[in-house]
Amino acid sequence: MSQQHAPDAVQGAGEIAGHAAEATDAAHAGGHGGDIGTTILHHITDANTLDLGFTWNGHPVEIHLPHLEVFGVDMSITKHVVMMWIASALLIVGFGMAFRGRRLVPRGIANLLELIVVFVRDEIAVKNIGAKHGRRMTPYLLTLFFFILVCNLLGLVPFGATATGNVNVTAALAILSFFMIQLEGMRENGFLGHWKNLVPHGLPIFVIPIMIIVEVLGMFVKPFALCVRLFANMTAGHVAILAFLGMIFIFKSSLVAVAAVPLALAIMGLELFVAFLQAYIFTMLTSLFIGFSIHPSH
Amino acid sequence: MDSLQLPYVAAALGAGLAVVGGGLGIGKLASAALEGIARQPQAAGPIGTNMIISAALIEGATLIAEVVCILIVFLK
Repeated sequence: MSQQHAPDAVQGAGEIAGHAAEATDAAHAGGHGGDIGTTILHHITDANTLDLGFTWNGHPVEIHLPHLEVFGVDMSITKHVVMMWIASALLIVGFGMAFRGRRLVPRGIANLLELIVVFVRDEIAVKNIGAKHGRRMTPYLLTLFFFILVCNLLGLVPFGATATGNVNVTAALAILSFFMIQLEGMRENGFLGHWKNLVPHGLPIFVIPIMIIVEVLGMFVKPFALCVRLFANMTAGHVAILAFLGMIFIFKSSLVAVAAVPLALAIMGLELFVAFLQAYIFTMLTSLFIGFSIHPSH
Repeated sequence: MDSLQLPYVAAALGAGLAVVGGGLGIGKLASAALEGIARQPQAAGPIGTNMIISAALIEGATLIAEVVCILIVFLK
Protein backbone atom coordinates (compact mmCIF):
# COMPACT_ATOMS: atom_id res chain seq x y z
CA MET A 1 0.00 0.00 0.00
CA SER A 2 2.74 2.48 0.95
CA GLN A 3 4.72 1.48 -2.17
CA GLN A 4 1.76 2.55 -4.27
CA HIS A 5 1.53 5.97 -2.69
CA ALA A 6 5.27 6.63 -2.58
CA PRO A 7 5.83 7.19 -6.35
CA ASP A 8 2.81 9.50 -6.51
CA ALA A 9 4.07 11.41 -3.52
CA VAL A 10 7.52 11.71 -5.05
CA GLN A 11 6.08 12.91 -8.32
CA GLY A 12 3.83 15.35 -6.54
CA ALA A 13 6.69 16.60 -4.43
CA GLY A 14 8.72 17.05 -7.60
CA GLU A 15 6.00 19.21 -9.09
CA ILE A 16 5.75 21.19 -5.91
CA ALA A 17 9.52 21.58 -5.91
CA GLY A 18 9.21 22.93 -9.43
CA HIS A 19 6.67 25.43 -8.24
CA ALA A 20 8.74 26.25 -5.16
CA ALA A 21 11.79 26.84 -7.34
CA GLU A 22 9.67 29.13 -9.46
CA ALA A 23 8.51 30.97 -6.38
CA THR A 24 12.08 31.37 -5.15
CA ASP A 25 13.33 32.75 -8.42
CA ALA A 26 10.39 35.03 -8.95
CA ALA A 27 10.75 36.26 -5.39
CA HIS A 28 14.40 37.06 -5.97
CA ALA A 29 13.83 38.50 -9.41
CA GLY A 30 10.45 40.15 -9.62
CA GLY A 31 9.48 40.58 -6.00
CA HIS A 32 10.33 43.53 -3.82
CA GLY A 33 12.77 41.79 -1.54
CA GLY A 34 10.90 38.49 -1.69
CA ASP A 35 7.42 39.87 -1.07
CA ILE A 36 5.14 36.87 -1.14
CA GLY A 37 2.11 38.82 -2.37
CA THR A 38 3.96 40.06 -5.42
CA THR A 39 5.25 36.56 -6.11
CA ILE A 40 1.82 35.02 -5.99
CA LEU A 41 0.48 37.80 -8.20
CA HIS A 42 3.33 37.24 -10.65
CA HIS A 43 2.37 33.57 -10.90
CA ILE A 44 -1.34 34.09 -11.33
CA THR A 45 -1.46 36.98 -13.77
CA ASP A 46 -0.50 37.23 -17.37
CA ALA A 47 2.92 38.57 -18.35
CA ASN A 48 4.84 39.53 -21.44
CA THR A 49 7.65 37.14 -20.59
CA LEU A 50 7.84 33.37 -20.37
CA ASP A 51 9.55 32.75 -17.08
CA LEU A 52 11.69 29.64 -17.48
CA GLY A 53 12.09 29.32 -13.78
CA PHE A 54 15.81 29.13 -13.27
CA THR A 55 18.49 31.78 -12.93
CA TRP A 56 21.71 32.21 -14.86
CA ASN A 57 24.39 34.33 -13.22
CA GLY A 58 21.78 35.79 -10.88
CA HIS A 59 19.45 36.88 -13.64
CA PRO A 60 16.24 34.94 -14.19
CA VAL A 61 16.09 33.23 -17.55
CA GLU A 62 13.10 34.59 -19.39
CA ILE A 63 11.88 34.63 -22.95
CA HIS A 64 10.58 38.05 -23.85
CA LEU A 65 7.51 37.66 -25.97
CA PRO A 66 6.73 40.02 -28.85
CA HIS A 67 4.43 42.97 -28.38
CA LEU A 68 2.00 43.25 -31.28
CA GLU A 69 -0.63 45.84 -31.93
CA VAL A 70 -3.38 45.38 -34.49
CA PHE A 71 -5.36 48.56 -35.31
CA GLY A 72 -4.65 49.94 -31.87
CA VAL A 73 -5.79 46.77 -30.10
CA ASP A 74 -3.11 45.15 -27.98
CA MET A 75 -2.67 41.69 -29.48
CA SER A 76 0.74 41.00 -27.98
CA ILE A 77 1.69 37.41 -27.39
CA THR A 78 1.71 36.82 -23.67
CA LYS A 79 2.32 33.86 -21.40
CA HIS A 80 -1.31 32.77 -21.43
CA VAL A 81 -1.51 33.05 -25.22
CA VAL A 82 1.47 30.71 -25.50
CA MET A 83 -0.23 28.33 -23.07
CA MET A 84 -3.38 28.32 -25.18
CA TRP A 85 -1.30 27.61 -28.28
CA ILE A 86 0.39 24.73 -26.48
CA ALA A 87 -3.02 23.36 -25.45
CA SER A 88 -4.34 23.62 -29.00
CA ALA A 89 -1.20 22.01 -30.43
CA LEU A 90 -1.40 19.17 -27.89
CA LEU A 91 -5.03 18.53 -28.78
CA ILE A 92 -4.54 18.68 -32.54
CA VAL A 93 -1.45 16.50 -32.49
CA GLY A 94 -2.82 14.15 -29.85
CA PHE A 95 -6.15 13.49 -31.51
CA GLY A 96 -4.58 13.39 -34.95
CA MET A 97 -2.06 10.78 -33.95
CA ALA A 98 -4.50 8.75 -31.88
CA PHE A 99 -7.05 8.43 -34.67
CA ARG A 100 -4.57 8.19 -37.51
CA GLY A 101 -5.71 4.76 -38.68
CA ARG A 102 -9.41 5.59 -38.45
CA ARG A 103 -10.18 2.02 -37.58
CA LEU A 104 -13.67 1.08 -36.50
CA VAL A 105 -12.31 -0.29 -33.22
CA PRO A 106 -9.84 2.19 -31.74
CA ARG A 107 -6.45 1.12 -30.45
CA GLY A 108 -4.28 2.55 -27.75
CA ILE A 109 -4.86 6.05 -26.45
CA ALA A 110 -7.75 6.41 -28.93
CA ASN A 111 -9.70 4.11 -26.62
CA LEU A 112 -9.56 6.61 -23.79
CA LEU A 113 -10.27 9.57 -26.05
CA GLU A 114 -13.20 7.78 -27.67
CA LEU A 115 -14.57 7.00 -24.22
CA ILE A 116 -14.58 10.68 -23.31
CA VAL A 117 -15.94 11.73 -26.72
CA VAL A 118 -18.82 9.27 -26.48
CA PHE A 119 -19.49 10.43 -22.92
CA VAL A 120 -19.74 14.06 -24.04
CA ARG A 121 -21.91 13.11 -27.00
CA ASP A 122 -24.36 10.85 -25.15
CA GLU A 123 -24.48 12.17 -21.61
CA ILE A 124 -24.02 15.86 -22.27
CA ALA A 125 -25.06 16.74 -25.82
CA VAL A 126 -27.85 14.30 -26.63
CA LYS A 127 -29.29 14.21 -23.11
CA ASN A 128 -29.61 17.99 -22.85
CA ILE A 129 -30.27 19.02 -26.44
CA GLY A 130 -32.08 16.03 -27.86
CA ALA A 131 -31.08 13.46 -30.42
CA LYS A 132 -31.62 15.56 -33.53
CA HIS A 133 -29.53 18.62 -32.63
CA GLY A 134 -27.33 16.98 -30.01
CA ARG A 135 -25.10 15.27 -32.51
CA ARG A 136 -24.75 18.51 -34.47
CA MET A 137 -23.63 20.45 -31.37
CA THR A 138 -21.22 17.75 -30.24
CA PRO A 139 -18.11 19.10 -32.03
CA TYR A 140 -18.48 22.49 -30.34
CA LEU A 141 -19.07 20.91 -26.94
CA LEU A 142 -16.12 18.57 -27.41
CA THR A 143 -13.87 21.48 -28.34
CA LEU A 144 -15.03 23.38 -25.27
CA PHE A 145 -14.51 20.39 -22.98
CA PHE A 146 -11.07 19.35 -24.18
CA PHE A 147 -9.70 22.87 -24.56
CA ILE A 148 -10.77 23.89 -21.06
CA LEU A 149 -9.50 20.59 -19.65
CA VAL A 150 -6.05 20.84 -21.23
CA CYS A 151 -5.71 24.52 -20.32
CA ASN A 152 -6.61 23.70 -16.71
CA LEU A 153 -4.17 20.81 -16.58
CA LEU A 154 -1.31 22.83 -18.10
CA GLY A 155 -1.47 25.06 -15.06
CA LEU A 156 -0.60 22.14 -12.79
CA VAL A 157 2.48 21.13 -14.72
CA PRO A 158 5.80 22.71 -13.70
CA PHE A 159 6.58 25.90 -15.65
CA GLY A 160 3.01 26.00 -16.93
CA ALA A 161 0.39 28.66 -16.42
CA THR A 162 -3.38 28.37 -16.36
CA ALA A 163 -4.77 30.19 -19.36
CA THR A 164 -8.28 29.64 -18.04
CA GLY A 165 -7.21 31.45 -14.89
CA ASN A 166 -7.29 34.62 -16.95
CA VAL A 167 -10.71 36.24 -16.89
CA ASN A 168 -10.29 37.35 -20.50
CA VAL A 169 -9.96 33.75 -21.69
CA THR A 170 -12.99 32.54 -19.77
CA ALA A 171 -14.94 35.61 -20.87
CA ALA A 172 -14.13 34.75 -24.49
CA LEU A 173 -15.32 31.18 -23.96
CA ALA A 174 -18.50 32.44 -22.26
CA ILE A 175 -19.17 34.90 -25.10
CA LEU A 176 -18.76 32.07 -27.62
CA SER A 177 -21.26 29.98 -25.64
CA PHE A 178 -23.62 32.98 -25.48
CA PHE A 179 -23.54 33.28 -29.27
CA MET A 180 -24.08 29.55 -29.67
CA ILE A 181 -27.11 29.68 -27.35
CA GLN A 182 -28.70 32.62 -29.16
CA LEU A 183 -27.87 31.44 -32.69
CA GLU A 184 -29.11 27.90 -32.11
CA GLY A 185 -32.34 29.24 -30.62
CA MET A 186 -32.83 31.54 -33.61
CA ARG A 187 -31.97 28.79 -36.07
CA GLU A 188 -34.54 26.45 -34.55
CA ASN A 189 -37.39 28.78 -33.66
CA GLY A 190 -36.89 31.60 -36.15
CA PHE A 191 -35.62 35.06 -35.30
CA LEU A 192 -38.84 36.37 -33.77
CA GLY A 193 -39.84 33.01 -32.35
CA HIS A 194 -36.67 32.88 -30.30
CA TRP A 195 -37.43 36.17 -28.58
CA LYS A 196 -41.05 35.19 -28.12
CA ASN A 197 -39.92 32.06 -26.35
CA LEU A 198 -38.12 34.20 -23.81
CA VAL A 199 -41.29 34.75 -21.83
CA PRO A 200 -43.52 31.80 -20.90
CA HIS A 201 -46.95 31.70 -22.44
CA GLY A 202 -50.18 31.90 -20.56
CA LEU A 203 -49.22 34.54 -18.04
CA PRO A 204 -51.38 37.44 -16.78
CA ILE A 205 -50.65 40.54 -18.82
CA PHE A 206 -49.21 42.61 -16.00
CA VAL A 207 -46.56 40.03 -15.13
CA ILE A 208 -45.07 40.04 -18.63
CA PRO A 209 -42.94 43.24 -18.36
CA ILE A 210 -41.31 41.90 -15.19
CA MET A 211 -40.76 38.53 -16.83
CA ILE A 212 -39.15 40.20 -19.83
CA ILE A 213 -36.70 42.06 -17.59
CA VAL A 214 -35.96 38.93 -15.58
CA GLU A 215 -35.46 36.74 -18.62
CA VAL A 216 -33.23 39.24 -20.42
CA LEU A 217 -31.12 39.62 -17.31
CA GLY A 218 -30.96 35.85 -17.01
CA MET A 219 -29.85 35.62 -20.63
CA PHE A 220 -26.76 37.65 -19.78
CA VAL A 221 -26.18 36.39 -16.26
CA LYS A 222 -25.89 32.74 -17.29
CA PRO A 223 -22.78 33.12 -19.49
CA PHE A 224 -21.36 35.60 -16.97
CA ALA A 225 -21.69 32.96 -14.26
CA LEU A 226 -19.98 30.42 -16.54
CA CYS A 227 -17.09 32.83 -17.03
CA VAL A 228 -16.60 33.74 -13.39
CA ARG A 229 -17.10 30.19 -12.11
CA LEU A 230 -14.31 28.80 -14.28
CA PHE A 231 -11.99 31.76 -13.65
CA ALA A 232 -12.53 31.76 -9.89
CA ASN A 233 -12.12 28.00 -9.52
CA MET A 234 -8.84 27.97 -11.41
CA THR A 235 -7.37 31.07 -9.78
CA ALA A 236 -8.45 30.22 -6.25
CA GLY A 237 -6.86 26.78 -6.39
CA HIS A 238 -3.55 28.15 -7.58
CA VAL A 239 -3.56 30.94 -5.00
CA ALA A 240 -4.16 28.34 -2.28
CA ILE A 241 -1.24 26.19 -3.44
CA LEU A 242 1.08 29.19 -3.73
CA ALA A 243 -0.06 30.53 -0.37
CA PHE A 244 0.74 27.27 1.38
CA LEU A 245 4.17 27.12 -0.20
CA GLY A 246 4.63 30.80 0.56
CA MET A 247 4.18 30.06 4.24
CA ILE A 248 7.66 28.57 4.11
CA PHE A 249 9.00 31.93 2.97
CA ILE A 250 6.89 33.99 5.32
CA PHE A 251 8.14 32.11 8.35
CA LYS A 252 11.62 31.90 6.85
CA SER A 253 12.07 28.42 8.26
CA SER A 254 12.47 25.08 6.53
CA LEU A 255 10.57 23.37 9.32
CA VAL A 256 7.28 24.77 8.04
CA ALA A 257 7.86 22.74 4.88
CA VAL A 258 7.03 19.57 6.79
CA ALA A 259 3.44 20.76 7.08
CA ALA A 260 3.21 23.02 4.05
CA VAL A 261 4.33 20.60 1.32
CA PRO A 262 1.85 17.78 2.15
CA LEU A 263 -0.95 20.37 2.42
CA ALA A 264 0.02 21.86 -0.94
CA LEU A 265 0.18 18.33 -2.37
CA ALA A 266 -3.35 17.60 -1.15
CA ILE A 267 -4.65 20.83 -2.63
CA MET A 268 -2.91 20.01 -5.89
CA GLY A 269 -4.81 16.71 -5.95
CA LEU A 270 -8.01 18.64 -5.38
CA GLU A 271 -7.01 20.99 -8.20
CA LEU A 272 -6.63 17.99 -10.51
CA PHE A 273 -10.19 16.93 -9.71
CA VAL A 274 -11.47 20.51 -10.03
CA ALA A 275 -9.81 20.82 -13.47
CA PHE A 276 -11.87 17.91 -14.79
CA LEU A 277 -15.00 18.97 -12.93
CA GLN A 278 -14.96 22.57 -14.15
CA ALA A 279 -14.43 21.52 -17.76
CA TYR A 280 -17.40 19.16 -17.40
CA ILE A 281 -19.57 21.78 -15.67
CA PHE A 282 -18.85 24.45 -18.32
CA THR A 283 -19.67 22.04 -21.12
CA MET A 284 -22.77 20.64 -19.42
CA LEU A 285 -24.21 24.05 -18.59
CA THR A 286 -23.58 25.28 -22.13
CA SER A 287 -25.40 22.26 -23.53
CA LEU A 288 -28.21 22.74 -20.98
CA PHE A 289 -28.69 26.37 -22.01
CA ILE A 290 -28.59 25.44 -25.69
CA GLY A 291 -31.21 22.78 -25.00
CA PHE A 292 -33.42 25.32 -23.19
CA SER A 293 -32.98 27.71 -26.09
CA ILE A 294 -33.93 25.14 -28.72
CA HIS A 295 -36.79 23.46 -26.83
CA PRO A 296 -38.24 26.00 -24.43
CA SER A 297 -39.68 23.91 -21.68
CA HIS A 298 -42.08 26.49 -20.33
CA MET B 1 -5.96 50.57 13.07
CA ASP B 2 -6.89 53.55 10.93
CA SER B 3 -9.65 53.65 8.39
CA LEU B 4 -7.15 53.10 5.58
CA GLN B 5 -7.00 49.43 6.62
CA LEU B 6 -10.76 48.96 6.45
CA PRO B 7 -10.80 47.59 2.88
CA TYR B 8 -8.48 44.79 3.90
CA VAL B 9 -10.63 44.00 6.93
CA ALA B 10 -13.71 43.99 4.73
CA ALA B 11 -12.10 41.74 2.15
CA ALA B 12 -10.90 39.26 4.75
CA LEU B 13 -14.27 39.17 6.51
CA GLY B 14 -16.09 38.79 3.22
CA ALA B 15 -13.88 35.94 2.08
CA GLY B 16 -14.45 34.07 5.34
CA LEU B 17 -18.19 34.63 5.46
CA ALA B 18 -18.58 33.51 1.86
CA VAL B 19 -17.18 30.13 2.81
CA VAL B 20 -19.72 29.86 5.66
CA GLY B 21 -22.60 30.13 3.21
CA GLY B 22 -21.06 27.77 0.68
CA GLY B 23 -20.04 25.24 3.29
CA LEU B 24 -23.51 25.14 4.85
CA GLY B 25 -25.16 24.78 1.45
CA ILE B 26 -22.88 22.01 0.25
CA GLY B 27 -23.14 20.28 3.64
CA LYS B 28 -26.92 20.15 3.36
CA LEU B 29 -26.57 18.88 -0.18
CA ALA B 30 -24.15 16.16 0.88
CA SER B 31 -26.38 15.04 3.73
CA ALA B 32 -29.37 14.72 1.40
CA ALA B 33 -27.28 12.82 -1.13
CA LEU B 34 -25.90 10.44 1.47
CA GLU B 35 -29.38 9.80 2.85
CA GLY B 36 -30.60 9.04 -0.66
CA ILE B 37 -27.76 6.60 -1.22
CA ALA B 38 -28.45 4.96 2.15
CA ARG B 39 -32.07 4.47 1.21
CA GLN B 40 -31.35 3.04 -2.23
CA PRO B 41 -27.73 1.92 -2.72
CA GLN B 42 -28.23 1.00 -6.36
CA ALA B 43 -28.98 4.66 -7.18
CA ALA B 44 -25.57 5.69 -5.86
CA GLY B 45 -24.26 6.45 -9.37
CA PRO B 46 -26.84 9.00 -10.52
CA ILE B 47 -27.18 10.49 -7.03
CA GLY B 48 -23.42 10.97 -6.83
CA THR B 49 -23.25 12.58 -10.25
CA ASN B 50 -26.04 15.02 -9.47
CA MET B 51 -24.43 15.79 -6.13
CA ILE B 52 -21.15 16.71 -7.78
CA ILE B 53 -22.90 18.94 -10.32
CA SER B 54 -24.90 20.75 -7.64
CA ALA B 55 -21.80 21.15 -5.48
CA ALA B 56 -19.94 22.73 -8.39
CA LEU B 57 -22.78 25.19 -8.97
CA ILE B 58 -23.00 26.20 -5.31
CA GLU B 59 -19.23 26.50 -5.16
CA GLY B 60 -19.40 28.76 -8.21
CA ALA B 61 -21.48 31.22 -6.26
CA THR B 62 -19.09 31.03 -3.29
CA LEU B 63 -16.10 31.63 -5.52
CA ILE B 64 -17.77 34.62 -7.17
CA ALA B 65 -17.87 36.21 -3.70
CA GLU B 66 -14.21 35.32 -3.20
CA VAL B 67 -13.34 36.98 -6.51
CA VAL B 68 -15.08 40.15 -5.33
CA CYS B 69 -12.95 40.10 -2.18
CA ILE B 70 -9.76 39.64 -4.20
CA LEU B 71 -10.81 42.56 -6.39
CA ILE B 72 -11.13 44.74 -3.29
CA VAL B 73 -7.55 43.96 -2.29
CA PHE B 74 -5.92 44.26 -5.67
CA LEU B 75 -7.87 47.16 -7.13
CA LYS B 76 -7.65 49.28 -3.96
